[in-house]
Amino acid sequence: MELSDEALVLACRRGDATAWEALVERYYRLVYTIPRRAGLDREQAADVCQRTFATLFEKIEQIEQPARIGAWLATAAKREAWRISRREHSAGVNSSPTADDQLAEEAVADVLLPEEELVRLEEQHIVRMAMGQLDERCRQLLILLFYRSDIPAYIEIATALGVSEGSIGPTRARCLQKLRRLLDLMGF
Amino acid sequence: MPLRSIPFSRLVDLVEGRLAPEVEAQLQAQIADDARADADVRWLGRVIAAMRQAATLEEEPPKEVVARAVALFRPQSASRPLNPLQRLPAMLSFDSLLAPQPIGLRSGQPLERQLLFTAGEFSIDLRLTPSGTNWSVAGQVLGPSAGGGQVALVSPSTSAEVALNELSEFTLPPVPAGNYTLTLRLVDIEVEVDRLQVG
Repeated sequence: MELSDEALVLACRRGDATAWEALVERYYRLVYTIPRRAGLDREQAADVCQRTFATLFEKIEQIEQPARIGAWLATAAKREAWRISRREHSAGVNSSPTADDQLAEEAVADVLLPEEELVRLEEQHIVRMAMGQLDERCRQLLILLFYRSDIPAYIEIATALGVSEGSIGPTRARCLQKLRRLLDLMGF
Repeated sequence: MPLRSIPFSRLVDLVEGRLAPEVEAQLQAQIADDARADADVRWLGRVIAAMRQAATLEEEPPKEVVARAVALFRPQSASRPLNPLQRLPAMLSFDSLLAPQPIGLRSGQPLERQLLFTAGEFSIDLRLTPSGTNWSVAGQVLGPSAGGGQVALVSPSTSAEVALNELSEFTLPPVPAGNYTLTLRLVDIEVEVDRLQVG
């Protein structure tokens, strides 16, 4: 059973390097995708990733809600994306923003990546985490069915999985119900 | 007339977009009178949309991005409280590969590449030299006396670490060609040379 976000953060505070690695593995895709969706290039997104996790390491003792570390990382990544974006257009960087600066940053950062878009990215992340806890058969089926932009024919899925075409529909429903139970536990 | 329960599978067909328009319209009318089915459809809509958007919009970062983030972690000793370590990113100020060749000198790939980085009050002189099929990374840290330290060279597949000597010099074990992060851990300061191409 995977450790919860809260358990990982508390373990990091105790100096557990494997907990830190697990936290990075859990959130690196979300933290990297946020600046990319905000229009930054790959190099800038890599900078955002590094700065965001460096900030997390520095402030890990001060995180007030360890269970919501995902939301904290998403907000931090969005702010870093805005800072790096701003740096490209003006000289000088305010490396130690005041509280007022941070409020202004959040307002302007919304233009770069609206809050509803951030919420969607977080939901994508939570669904992906839940998918990782499904059994292999369900995970493969749901990936083939839904991690794509088109609507696949059942014969294509059945061939890929080596099962009968008639079994796809009922299995799909059962797997989605399993996913639902996992997502309910994660507060989705 | 009692409410008819709509099979969950049918609701998935609806949200996926597998139903003919007239069938979809009939089902929507039924769902309007069925609170449970309505909640199921809303849930399916959120989840399936999340999966479809992830497929088209999520991006896998390069492995070294993840490796660098993992390498940030430093366990705190029990004897001192957690303090933020000052981190300085190093900026490249000289690369022998980019320096113009003097007139009259035969052109050709130099055997050794010299790089100079600056980070605050520190300068890092690096020499990259072929060593068989690998590369030797050696150098010296110049600046305020650090009283010792460690240097680490990390990539997703390789890592090497060595202590600085009394002259703040170091020679790392030979490593394969690749893209690395070089980290110098001095007292209360960490200097990072990012995206160092070795070889």
